Amino acid sequence: MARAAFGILSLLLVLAAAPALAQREPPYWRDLSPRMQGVLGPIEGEWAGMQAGQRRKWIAIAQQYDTLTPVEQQHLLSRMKAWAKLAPEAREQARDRYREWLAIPPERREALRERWQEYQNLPPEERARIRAGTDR
Amino acid sequence: MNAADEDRLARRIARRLDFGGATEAQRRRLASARAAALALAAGKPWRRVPARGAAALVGAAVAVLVVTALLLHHELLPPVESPPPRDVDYALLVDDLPIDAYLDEGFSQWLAQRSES
Repeated sequence: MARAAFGILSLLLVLAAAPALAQREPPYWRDLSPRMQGVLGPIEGEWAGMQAGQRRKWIAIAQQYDTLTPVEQQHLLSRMKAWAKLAPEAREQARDRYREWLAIPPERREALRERWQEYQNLPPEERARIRAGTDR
Repeated sequence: MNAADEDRLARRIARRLDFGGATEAQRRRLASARAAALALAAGKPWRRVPARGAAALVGAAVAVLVVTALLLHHELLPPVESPPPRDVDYALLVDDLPIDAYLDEGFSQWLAQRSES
């Protein structure tokens, strides 16, 4: 009985400490090189709240920054913050749709950007109507 | 108890043990007695076999030490070791289309309508 209580108490202590330990995990912002801090600057505010795995993922992404084209670099910098702030479900939705659209033939895929612009140029009411149609 | 009696008792105990007749507590006491006898025969001081509670405490202490060692090891690791990912997140972040395009249900629906017409 006492052994079971001791085990449960130990488990509870570990579970209670887990979030605090995750926050304490490296890599810390201060440990990043100035270059890395520069690239990851848009998400500095989110860094403290991230799990270690997320931080490592961002660092790995930033390590490729110099290999990107200027346009891709611009895309990366402008999207980092929004991506880091998205809810996990929204991120998963974006990933799913990305995978889905990967199946589109390359020539039609290139046209997607133009289509997005066309869609953006629709009156807001029209876009709202289309969105409402998806809920039905 | 003479030598013949001791021999008979030993054979009875051996039979009980051979057929699994001893309980857990009896096995522990026997192990403790055997350790004591061997220590006496060898002329060494005898240390009692730890009880169940003590064994659990030792186990818990070992677990705490292992967890602490893992945490310290993790703390001392250099910041990045992972290879650069070419995963979906990375592709999304540098893609031609903005992230909103992937999140907007209306856009997906509108594309489907256009491809049908």
